[in-house]
Formats: sequence, structure tokens, C-alpha cells
Amino acid sequence: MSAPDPELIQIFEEEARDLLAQLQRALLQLEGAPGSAPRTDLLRLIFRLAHTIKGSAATVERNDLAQIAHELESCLEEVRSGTLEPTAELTSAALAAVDVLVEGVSAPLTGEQVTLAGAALKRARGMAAPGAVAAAVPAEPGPAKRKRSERQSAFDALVGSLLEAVSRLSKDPAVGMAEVLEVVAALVASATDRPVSARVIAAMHAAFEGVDFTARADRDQIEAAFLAADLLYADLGGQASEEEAEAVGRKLQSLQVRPPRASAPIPAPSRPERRAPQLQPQVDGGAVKVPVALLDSILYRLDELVAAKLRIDYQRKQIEDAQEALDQGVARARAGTSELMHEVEAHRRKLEFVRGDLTQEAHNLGMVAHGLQEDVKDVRMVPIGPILDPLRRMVRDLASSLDKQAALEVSGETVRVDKRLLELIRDPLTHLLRNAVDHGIERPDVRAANGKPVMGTIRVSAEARDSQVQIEIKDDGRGIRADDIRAAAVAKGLIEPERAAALSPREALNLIFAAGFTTAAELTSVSGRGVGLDVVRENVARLGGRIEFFTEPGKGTQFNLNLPLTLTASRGLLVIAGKHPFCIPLAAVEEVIAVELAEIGAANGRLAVQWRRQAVTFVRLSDLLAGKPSGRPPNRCPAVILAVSDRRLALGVDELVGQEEVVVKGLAAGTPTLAFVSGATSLADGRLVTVLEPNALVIAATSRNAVVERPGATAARTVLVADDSLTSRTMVASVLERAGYRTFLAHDGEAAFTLLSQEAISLVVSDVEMPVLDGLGLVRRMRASERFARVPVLLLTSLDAALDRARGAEAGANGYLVKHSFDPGAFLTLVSQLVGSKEAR
Amino acid sequence: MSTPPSHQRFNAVPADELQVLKDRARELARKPAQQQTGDEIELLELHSRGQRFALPLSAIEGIVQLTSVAFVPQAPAYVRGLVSFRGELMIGIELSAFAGGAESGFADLQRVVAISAGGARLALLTEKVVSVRSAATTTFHPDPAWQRPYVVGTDKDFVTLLEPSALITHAFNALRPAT
Repeated sequence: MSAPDPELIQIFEEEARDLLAQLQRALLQLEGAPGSAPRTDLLRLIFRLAHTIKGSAATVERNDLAQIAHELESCLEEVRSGTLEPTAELTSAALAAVDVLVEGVSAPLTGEQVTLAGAALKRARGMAAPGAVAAAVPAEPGPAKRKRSERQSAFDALVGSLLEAVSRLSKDPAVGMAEVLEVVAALVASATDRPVSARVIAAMHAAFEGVDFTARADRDQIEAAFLAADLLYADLGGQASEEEAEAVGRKLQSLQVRPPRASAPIPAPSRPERRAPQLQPQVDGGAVKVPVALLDSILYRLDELVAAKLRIDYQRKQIEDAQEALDQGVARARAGTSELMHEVEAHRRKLEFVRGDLTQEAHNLGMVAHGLQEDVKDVRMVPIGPILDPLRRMVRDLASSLDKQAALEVSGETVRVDKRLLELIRDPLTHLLRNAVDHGIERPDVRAANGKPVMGTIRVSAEARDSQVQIEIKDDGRGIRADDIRAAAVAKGLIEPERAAALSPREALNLIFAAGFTTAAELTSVSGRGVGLDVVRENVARLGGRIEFFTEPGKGTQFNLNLPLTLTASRGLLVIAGKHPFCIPLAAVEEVIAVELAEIGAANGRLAVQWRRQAVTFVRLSDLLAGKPSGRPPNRCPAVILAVSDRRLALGVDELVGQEEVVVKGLAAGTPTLAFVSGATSLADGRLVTVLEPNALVIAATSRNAVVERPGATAARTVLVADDSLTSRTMVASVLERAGYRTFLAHDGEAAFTLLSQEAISLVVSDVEMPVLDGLGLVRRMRASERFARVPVLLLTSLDAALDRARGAEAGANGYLVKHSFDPGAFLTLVSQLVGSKEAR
Repeated sequence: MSTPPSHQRFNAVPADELQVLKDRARELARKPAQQQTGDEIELLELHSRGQRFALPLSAIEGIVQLTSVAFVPQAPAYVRGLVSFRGELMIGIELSAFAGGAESGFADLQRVVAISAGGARLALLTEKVVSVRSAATTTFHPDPAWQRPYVVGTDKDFVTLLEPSALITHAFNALRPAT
């Protein structure tokens, strides 16, 4: 017997999980369904779901699941017929059966599990008989009509035979369709007054006519045969619908194969769908499940696409510059030979065409990349409803176990958030709801005594606001008393009694976020992780969000989670610190203020500034990142007020650049965590910028000692570093800055000369080989300029020949160093001498 | 009779002699037989600050131009920053500073060579990528005065062969906080 295709099994598993989730939701709704109409619709839905699960399970030879699904059907038949009411006990038994099915999707159930699930359902139905559950494919059809003609009994028996034949076929496809076809033929010959059965039999007959009954049956034939047989069986009990018959008919129709004819070439049969319609993932406008990791990869590659577009833009600009130079050359050579002029003009026109084409291509590329980016970002957004659904069940079950009554009401289920975010907030949400049931909702007698409805209500609502989603968890329970928290914190040894007494009511309430403020019950119930609200707060902060709560004793408590809608694109604040650009997630930025040096005081052993009437720890970002003072602080600097949970930090930066929408890339798998770094992002100009982790910044700043301004710091001297190599520029600049120099950077001689005109430069350190204007050209131009003639120039180059040194001296350079033997100490000594020489003049 | 042009002279060669010439040409065109040794591998050779390094080609994910580096605070000097390799963010280390022990001078880093081993990935920043060639690992001899877990050895041309997995492990270990 061949095992089912692993791919088919995977499809079944995915479908089964979806169906079981729907089944659970429907059962919960059935329990509280008010009138007959909603109940009837729910029962119909439940039947269809259980029926589909049973059929799908049987197809992949999961008879254990099919058995339980069949028992569930039978149980709810009595509800449908009015024999049983959908009581809490019955619903619980049905939900327990669903739980077993959920567990069984991933791994086969034991016989005991199947028996117990079936027995629970039987008990709920009031059946006394213990023992094994009836077979999933009963030999006798049932529940049967009370009066049945002999002809109908014969038909029913044939249906039973068909089920047996299909079951044997599914176990061993090699036996071929012979037996099935024989029974189908018999069914055709029989008569039935059931329209659904008649339709299905006709479809089977048409589908299997001409089939080679000696050949091994293929998967689609087996699936179709089973679905048809199963529907016939369901129709015996009046449980088949026209819609189901239509679906099975379509499935059978897709199998129809023209029999081979001797006189014509045998046409290749149209290849049927490899997946049965009922085994496809839940169709929702043709949706397909895509791993989030794949979406991440696509998004990052799109980011590179955008970067490539920016590089094309830059190259286009270079062509424009070349064109301009060519035009100037043409103008100068206009007095030359006409033949040369013609040739140059031809090249100029050609360059113009190329530039135009490149501009258009870059524009198109940008449009396509942007569109793809938006589409992929959109794919990641999923409605928040699916994670809230299972929580209904959790609330109900937990309340029941505590002899309480509580129901979860949900609104805003259609709000769409990042799928990764959805997965990450599941635990915090679950914890908050458990707290609401455990500590918030009172027992029924207490609620009644306080004039409240016996059934406690917990409302979860989600609302999208700009780029954030706010999730509210509100209960109508007992609320939280500050004195109770105070006493509990003292009892747990978290705080001294005297200090606890001195806390304001708000401060006392915030103790619920203190580490260790958990009860023994919580340690065991929340997946054994022993998490408390401190971990919830930290997890929310890590997602770039915030948690706050409000409470009114006797009335209830409300927790608000503010989270970014998407973890991919977010807004970032770009700053410069220590000459390096950084991005700070805007979600953590409360405000940006200007800080004067004179305003910086000290509080709690740390530097601090006043912000909204409170002392907020102040630290320069460059100091924090370097782990030590990095230079004399300026008289005035912008400061970013970071907010992480209830902690605040004033982060002094050198410069504010602005806000940008950023896609934060995390580090490749396996890479160690870097201090203060959550990732990096590519800016619009293509530069890669480090994204800082606000939580790490706040923790580091509030746990370190006060930063003392280093006395006698080297007075700032300004050095211009010109080099077309990014790494060379950065290396030289960092050496100079560590020595207390202020630096400006240029990527070629032309840019360097422009900077000279704009800033007061003490020394120029320049490479020789640079585009546009090389180092020697820069020196000569400076020497020819009255304004810059006396600014010292130190050439730093890879050219080591004596002739190169001579050229440097001839051009007017004051020093010459070779890169490959670069020594920072010797370099700084020379720099100091040269800067000093300028100072001396 | 004038001498025919050189390209036409072969027309007069007898067929059997022409066949010999063809056979000889075919023989010359045949690649020399590879000396199949069990320890021969394909290597990618890199240059950085005048030093030559080699890495097994199997560990190379790809090579791209270095366009931008994002600063990493409190990192060792050989960590030049974060680089993007085909959309994936990696730590970029300067090969000569880390593996070559170069303490003076600096390199014009132009290339990002992404390597992977054991599920971890690292970007090596280097001046230039020189060649791909085959070499027997037995030609690389350890230097007792320069023993590093990620250095397999040096050959007669002073090319240092590096072991990618150990290179990544040690580069990452140096980044992890001391316990």
C-alpha cells in the first residue's frame, strides 16, 4: 500500500487547521446563539466543516481523525433535530473533540485518544454505551428514515457497498476501479427519489465511463470517488446539500476522459488538478500562503533595487557632467577645424540620446521598484482578527476553570497589521487577557452583589491610527487598587515598606510592571515561562510600541498597547553623532528639544536636563556609543527625548538631519548581537545607516555614571580630508577626530575646493589620484588662490615613487605620506606640526 | 612561379601529411591532464594591504562592490561596519586587519566578499579580488610564528589560506561580550 503523497498531506494539514479554527469559532457562537435562525445556520456550517474534515482526513488515510469528525457529526445531528440543546456540557465536549482533532493534525492519535474523544461526545449525547466508537465508514448507513421501501433499502445498501469499495481502493489503488465501477453501474440501475443522490450518481457514471478499470487508480479518481460516495452516504441522512452536490459534480467532471479510438491519435488527457478543490488552502480571492521569511527576503532585494536605481541616477548625473564638459570643450574648440567640430558634435548628440534613455530607464526602474515595494509591504499586512478568535475560547475556558463567567468581545478585527507583529503580540495579548480573567473579573456572586451582570465582559478592540495600531483590552472587573499593589510589592520583598508608603498612587500602580511581580498561578499558566507584566512591557517595547493602563477600583481596568502597524517600513529620525549618521526609530521619540550647555545639571548622579518639569537623564549620543567622553560638548545641541515604556532619556546629538521612511534590515542569521544596533537602513541617497535600538540606549544611559566633561580637551582644529575612497576618508577622519580634530570630507579635489570656500580649514589632507580634480591639481589651485595659498596641504597617497613625491613638492604640498605605511602616531604628529605652522602665521 | 601566400600553402600539402598536422593540432589543443589529487581545491585569492589571502571557493557567496558602510559603535578596529550584500545586512571586517595582523597602513577597500559557513555569514572587505585557481591544500604550510585557528597555512608565494568556518567563528566571538 503506498503512502499518501507528502505534499498532499501538507495541504491537508494546512486546510485542516483552518477548518478546525472555523469549527471552534462556530461552536462557541452556537453556545450563545439567541434564536433558531442563527442556530440553524451555525449548525449547517458546523456540519459542513466536520464533513469536510472527515472527507479530507479519509483521503490522506487519517481514519483516526475521520472517526472523531464522524462522531461529532452524529452528536450535532441530535442538536439539529431538536433532541438535544446546545448546552455548555455539549459544547465543551465538542470543543474537546476539536482540540483532539487539532492535536491529531500534526501527529497520529492513539486509539485511546480517539476512544476518549468519542466517549465524551457520547456522554454529552446522553448515550450510556461505553467502549469503542463506531467505525468511520459504517457498513450500515444511518441515521436512516423510519419507513423505507425495499427499493430504498437496496439503494442504501449499494451506497454502503460503494463506500467499502472506495475504501479498499484508497488503501490499494492497484486493484483498479473495477469494483467501484460495478457498484456505480448498479446504482445507476437502481432508482432513488433523492435529487442529490441522483445527481451525484449521474456525475459518477459520466466521469468513470471509459475508465480503464484494470489500471491503477490515480489520486484524483480516488478522491472524487470518495467524495461522491461520502456525499451519497450523507444524503441517506438528509445531510447533503445541493451546493455540495454541485462541488462534487464539478470534481467528477474534471476527471472525464475520452476513451481511446483506434482511428485517431490518442489525445493527451487534460491533466486534472493535482489538488482536490476541498483540499486547497482556504480560498479568499485566490490567496496563497507565503512564508514571512520569503517576504522579508523579497523586501530586502527590492531595497537593493531602489539602491541600484539611485546609482543609475548618479551615473546619469556623471554623464550630464561629462556632457557639460564636452559642451565647454566644444565651445573652446569652435575656432578649430570644422571636421573635428563635426565629430565632436556627433558624439555630443549621441551622449545626449544616451542620457535621455538612461533617465527614462531610471525613472521606469524607480516606478517598478516602488510599486513592488508597496505590493510586498501590503502582502505582509493581515487582519488582526485571526489571533483574537482563539482568545475567545481561552477566556471562556479559563473563566470556567475559575468558576467565573466571562466572555470576550472583539472589535476592529479587520484592522490589518504586519504578520510578524501579529505573531509577536500573541503572547502579550494572551497574558493580559489571562490577567483580566484571573485578577479582574469577579466571581458571579460577587458581581451580582455589586449590581453587575453575572457574565463578565472583556473587550478587545483594535484601531489603526496613522502608522500605529492601538489595541485596547478592557474589562469590567474589580479594577486595581494602589494600596493592594503596594502591599503585594512589600510582601514580595520588591520594595521597602517605607518607600512603598512614599509612592504616589500612580507610582504604586506602576509596580505591577516590576520584575518579579507575578503570582504563582501565573507562573504555571502562561506556558510555564513565568512571565510577568515586566516581560510584556519589554516585549512591546522591543516591537517599537508602548503599553499603558488605566484602572478604576470597582469598575474595571484598561490596558492600551500602541504598536507600529508594520515592522518593515517605519519612520526614523536621522541624526549625526560623532560624525556618523544614525537612525532612531521615530516611535521611540517623544520630542526634540534644544539644549544649552548651561542648562545641563545633575540628578541622581547623572547629567540631566529639565523636560516638562521633570529631570531627564542627559547624555551625548557620541559619548554613549563610544563608551567614554568623545570631545568637548558644544554650547548648544539638539537633544532627542527618547521614551521607552515609562523611562525617558535626553540624547544629545551633533546634528538633526530629518525624518525618513525607512526599511530596517536586521542582521543576517547567526550574526552576534551588536551593542546599540538593531540593524541598518538604506537612505534615499543610497547610504547605509545604522539603526539604533532605543531600549539599549536608555538602559545604558540610565545605568552608567555621569559623564564628566573631560578637561583640557584638545581645542577643535578643522581638517579637510579629500579622497575618492570611502574607507580611506573614513579611516583618516576617525584618526583625526579621536585626536580632537574637527573634520570635513570631500570625495574629489573639486568638492574639496568648494568646501574650502565655505569652511574655515586649518589643513587639507588629500589623496593624489582622484576624479574631476586630483590632489596635485587641488594643491596648485590652492597655491594660485590668494585666499588659500597658505593653507597647508598634506598629500596621503598610495603612490610611493620618488618622482611622485617630487611632483607633490613641486605642486606646493607641505607633506607627503604613503598609505601602505600609514602610522597614525606619525600622521598626527605631522598634522599637529602643519596645523601649528598655520597657527603661527 | 611566385610563392603563394602563406594561407594558401597548406592547400598543396598531401592529405596524409595534413592529417598528421591536424592530429598534432588536436593533441596540442587538448588540456593537460589534471593531476587528480584528493586535496586539491578551488580557491579565491584576495589582496588587502599588500597581503594575499585565499579562501575556498565553496565558501564564497558572492562578490559585490563596496558602496556604503554603516558604522558599528564599540566594535574592534577590524570591524569596518555593516554592509549590504544583495539586500542582506552583514558585519564587514577588513581582512588584512583581522586575519593578517596588519597594524599600520590602511587599505582602499573596494570589494565585499561574502562568505558563509555553518549557517553564519560574514562580509570580508578587501581591496581587490585577484583570481580563482586550483591548489593543493598540502602546499600551504602553517607558520609556527603565526598560528591562528582560521589560518590553514601559507604557500611559497606568501598566499595565506584561511578556513572560513573558523574565520567566522573567531570574528563573531570577538564581537560577543565577555562572559
